[in-house]
Amino acid sequence: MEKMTNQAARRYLRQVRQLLPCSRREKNELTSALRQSLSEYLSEHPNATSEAIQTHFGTPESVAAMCMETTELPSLLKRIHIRRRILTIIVAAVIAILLTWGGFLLYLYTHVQKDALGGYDILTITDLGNQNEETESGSVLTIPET
Amino acid sequence: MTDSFGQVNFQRGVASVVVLSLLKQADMYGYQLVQEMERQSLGALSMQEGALYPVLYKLQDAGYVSSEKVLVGKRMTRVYYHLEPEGEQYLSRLLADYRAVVDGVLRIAEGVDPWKK
Repeated sequence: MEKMTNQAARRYLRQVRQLLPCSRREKNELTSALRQSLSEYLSEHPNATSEAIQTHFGTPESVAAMCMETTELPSLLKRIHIRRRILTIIVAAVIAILLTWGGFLLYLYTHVQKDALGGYDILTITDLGNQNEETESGSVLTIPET
Repeated sequence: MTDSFGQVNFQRGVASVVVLSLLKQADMYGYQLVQEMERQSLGALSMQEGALYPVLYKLQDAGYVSSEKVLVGKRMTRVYYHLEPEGEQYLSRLLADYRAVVDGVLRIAEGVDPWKK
């Protein structure tokens, strides 16, 4: 097939294809038929603008609407359910990844901080006197009276 | 082209009837179908060429219509659509349904109540 040089026509075909609510096979067939007609139209109107193309062929939305109108209802509902299911799975996967990543970062934060202190816990001394404090790691820290 | 009530609703219900009826007259290509639609309906019906292809695709997929590429000029090809025998039978059924619906609508619109004595 001859390559389409008119940018407006290429953009139009791309927009129609993006909006078509049908299977890949049907999209290919429809855009192929449209491309053929567009080529013939452009041979007579080589500098056709986007507006002129849409006036003749219809807006991408109207083409998509007619496609939807001619699709059997069960098939249309099935496509809607499939899309909803895919969206639900994607959202669930993103949430799971975020939670896992958040948990991992929290784990890193708590353990890296402990390692940086040589395995000791931080204690806040409020009263200076002889104190024997037992830390979480089990070592005894004696703070002399000053 | 301005949208009128008739044109918008035409696109949403009777496109198959009109397309099949035109193809019954002769094999036609896309733009020719659009032109004949407007000409034979005296302007009452019109459709943009892009919206025609989903209709033709469905009819082809169901086996009611077939297509053939014909060389036009030196390098251009044009797709002509042809009504198949199954398509002609389908058209008969569609027309019967369409007449019944239109009849019913007109009866209601004109206030003809079949149950009134």
